[in-house]
Amino acid sequence: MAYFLLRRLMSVIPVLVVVSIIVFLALRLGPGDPAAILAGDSATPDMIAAMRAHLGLDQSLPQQFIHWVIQIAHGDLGRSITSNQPVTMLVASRLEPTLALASATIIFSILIATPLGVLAAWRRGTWVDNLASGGAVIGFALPAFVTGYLLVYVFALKLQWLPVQGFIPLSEGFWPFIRHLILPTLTLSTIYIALITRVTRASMLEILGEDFVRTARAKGLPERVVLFRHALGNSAIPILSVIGIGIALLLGGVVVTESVFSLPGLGRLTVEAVVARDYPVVQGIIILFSGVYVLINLAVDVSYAIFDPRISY
Amino acid sequence: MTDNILAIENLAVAVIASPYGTTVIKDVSLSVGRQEIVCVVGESGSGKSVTSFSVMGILSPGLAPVAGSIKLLGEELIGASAARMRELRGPRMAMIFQEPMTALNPVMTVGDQIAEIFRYHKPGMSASDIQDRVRSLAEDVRLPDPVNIIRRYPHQLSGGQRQRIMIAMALALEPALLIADEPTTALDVTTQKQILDLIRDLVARRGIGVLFITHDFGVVAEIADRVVVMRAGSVVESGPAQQVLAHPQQAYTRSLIDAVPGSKLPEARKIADNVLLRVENLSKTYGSRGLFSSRPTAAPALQDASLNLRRGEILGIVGESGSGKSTLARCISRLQMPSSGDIWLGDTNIARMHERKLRRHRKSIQVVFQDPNRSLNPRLRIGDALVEGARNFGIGTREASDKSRQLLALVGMDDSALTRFPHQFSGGQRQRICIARALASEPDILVADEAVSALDVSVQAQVIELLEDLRSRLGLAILFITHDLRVAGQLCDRLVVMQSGRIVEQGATGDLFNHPREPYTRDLLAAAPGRVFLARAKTA
Repeated sequence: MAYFLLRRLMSVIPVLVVVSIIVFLALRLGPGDPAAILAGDSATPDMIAAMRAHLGLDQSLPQQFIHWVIQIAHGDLGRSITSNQPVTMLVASRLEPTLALASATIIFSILIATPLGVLAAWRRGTWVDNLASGGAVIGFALPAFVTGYLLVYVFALKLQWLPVQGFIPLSEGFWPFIRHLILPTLTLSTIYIALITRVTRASMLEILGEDFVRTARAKGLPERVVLFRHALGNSAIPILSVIGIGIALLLGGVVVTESVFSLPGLGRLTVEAVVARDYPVVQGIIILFSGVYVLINLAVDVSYAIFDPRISY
Repeated sequence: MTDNILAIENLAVAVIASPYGTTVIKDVSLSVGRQEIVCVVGESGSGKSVTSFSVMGILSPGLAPVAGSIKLLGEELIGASAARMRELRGPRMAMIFQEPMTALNPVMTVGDQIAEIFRYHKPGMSASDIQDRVRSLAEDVRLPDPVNIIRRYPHQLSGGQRQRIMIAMALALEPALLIADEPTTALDVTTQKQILDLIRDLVARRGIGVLFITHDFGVVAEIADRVVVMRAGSVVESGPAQQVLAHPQQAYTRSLIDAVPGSKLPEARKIADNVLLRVENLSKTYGSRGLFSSRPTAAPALQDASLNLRRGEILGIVGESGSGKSTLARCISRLQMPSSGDIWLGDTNIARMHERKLRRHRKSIQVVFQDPNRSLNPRLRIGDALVEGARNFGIGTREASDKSRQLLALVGMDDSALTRFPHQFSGGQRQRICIARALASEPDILVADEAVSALDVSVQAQVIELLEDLRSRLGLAILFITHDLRVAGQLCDRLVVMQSGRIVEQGATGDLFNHPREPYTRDLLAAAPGRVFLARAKTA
C-alpha cells in the first residue's frame, strides 16, 4: 500500500510536465497579446515592444518555458501581468469561495443522490423510479446558467428568501456564509445529483440480483439494512468512480456558476485572467487544478480498497 | 399432525405478472417433522427451489403463492405480513444456499455477517455477548481457529469453510426448520461428505427439521429420512427414503436413481498402444514477479506431472479444487504455458512453443469448458459460432455452412439450431453445441474440463453417452477432467488422481476403484455420496 501511494504520488510529476507544456503552448499560440492589452489602446508600437521586453515575452518560446519551469520548481508561480501580485497570493485569496462551493456541492449531491438511486432501484418500475429517472434526465439537460437564473428568480427575487448573489466569508458568520452558498450549490448540484442517481440506481439493480442479498433477506434483516448495508456497500465502487470524475468536472463547472452568482472564486479568476491574457495566472491555476485532479484520483483508488477488502494494492 | 415443524398443503405458485397466470408449481404437499431430514429431489426447473423460497417468503418479484397453505409450527405463512415473515426468518426458519461464495456478502467479515443477525433480532444483546455467541457458533460448525476465522472475509476462506459459515448463520437463532438448497453441489466430494455429516449431526443434537433440496440421489441415500420427488412443478412420488430408493414407484424416480453416476463401472476395453500425447514432468508455478517485489512466489500449482494418452482412450483426471487438474488441462491445451516439462504431440514438443508456431497444433487439441452458458457468445448464432474457428483458418462460406450441419448431426442435433442463439437452448443442448464447436477443427484430442459438472444428472448421463459415442466413432482421445469420481468411474478407461498439484496415483479405472493403493484415493472413494447404497444396489 505504501509503495502504491508513493508510486501514484510520483506520477503527479509527469502529469504536471505534460499539462504545463500544453497550457504553455495553448496560451501562447492562441490570439491576443498581453503586452498590447496592458499598454492600452493608444499605445505606440514602441511602447508595446518595451512592455513585451519588460514582461520577458520577447524571448523565444523555449527560453520562456524553461524560465517558467525553473520558477515553478522553486515553488514560485510568478506574478500576474495585470496586477503584479504573486500568482500564489491571488489564488489563495480566491480559494475560499471555490472550495466552499465545490465541497458543498459534492456533499449535497451525495446526500441527495445516493438514497434517491437506492430507492429508485428498490422500487424499480414504480412512480418513485420514474420520477427519479425522469428527474435525472432533466438534471442532465438543464445548463447551469438556466438553473441558476431560474433559482434566483424564484427564491431571491420573488420569494426573497435568499440573496441574489455575492459571497460572505465564513469568518464573517456561519449563517450568512451558508445563505449565500445555497443557490450556487443547488445550481451546480443538479447535474451531479442526476449523474450519481443514475449510477447508483444501475449499480444497485445489479447488486440486488445477487445471492447475498437473498441471504440477507433470508436472515430476517430489515429491508433498510439489506439495502443500505448489504447492497449499497457492494455498489460502492462504480459510485465512487463517478463521484471522483464528478469532482474533476466540478473544477470546470465552478467557472459558470461563479459567474452567475458573482462569487469571487477561482472560476472567476480564471475567466478574468484568460480575457486579459494574463499568462502566469492561467498557467498557475491550471497547474494547481491538475495537481488536485491527480490527488482526487488517488483518493478514489484508495477508497476502493477501503470499501472492498478484495482490492489491495 | 402437531409434531410437524413444516406442513405444506396443495401449494401452487404462479407468475402473477402474466395475464395467463402461468403456474410454476402446483399441488405440492409435504411435511417435515422434528429431527427429520426430508429431501426434495428433482432436476432443474422441477420447482424444488420455488417450493423452498415460498416457505421463506423470498420468491422473486413476480412470483407468488396462489393456492394452498404453508404452516410453520402451526402458523400459516401464506398471507402473513412482511414484518411477521421477517420475524420468523432467523428464529423459526433459516436457509442455506448452493453457492456459499456468492451467498455471502463479499465486503463484510464473516463474523460480522453472523453478528448482525443478533443485532437485529435480539436488540438487547450486548456487543461482547454477541461476539461470544459468534465464536461458539463457529466452534459448533467445526471451523478451525474460530477466533481468527470470523475476522476474515469470504474470499479468504475455502468453499467448505464458507458453507460452514452459512450454516452457522442459519443456526444462530436456533430455528426449528433449516432449509438447505443444494448446499453441497458446489463443493468437493470430501468437503461434501463433511458438510453432510455436520448437518446430520446438528439434526441429532438440536432436533431441528431439515428440508434438503438436491438433484442427486447419491446425496439422498446418504442423508434423507424421507424423500419427495418433484417433476415439472408437481410432486410425483414421496415416501420413506429406504422405500423410495429400493422400490421407486415411478419410472421418473427410477431414471433419476439410475442416472446417479458410478452405478456401474465400464468394461475394460482393449486400446491399441498408439500414444498421441506424452506429458513428461510438467510443472507450473503461478505468480508474476513485479518489477520491485522479489518475494518468492506461491507453491507450484502443478508439479512433475507425467502421463500418456492413447488414440481412442478416455483418461480421467480426478481431484478436488486446487489439486492442479485444471492447470494440467490448461497447460496441455496450451491455454497456459507450463513453467517446465515437455508436452509431446506426436514428435513435436509444444510445451514452450511460440504462439505463432503453436497455431498449427492448436487444431489437434480442443477444449470443452464447464459452463456452457458462459462459454458461448450470447450474440453469435450457433451456425456462426460452430465454424468461427474454422473460418479463422480460412474456409469458404458454403463449405462452412455444410460443415456446421455435419457437426450438429455429429452431436445429435438438427439444422434448425443453426440460426438460433445460445439462450434458446437448454444447458445440455448448449454443452452439445460446445462439443460440436470443439470438433470443428477435427482434433485428435478433446479436453473436457469439468464439462458435465454444471449439468443435471440425467443430462449429464446423455452428454457422457455422447462423449463415449464420439470416441468410438471418431477414434477421439479424451482427457476428462472432473472432481466427481463417480462420473469418471463411469466413463474413463484410466484414471489419474491428483492432490495438491501432484499426481498421486494412476491406473486402470477398475483396478483403482477396487484396489486403491493411496490413502487419498481411498478417501475420495469413501466420500462419494450414495456409495453404500449403490454398492447394495449392485449386488441386489
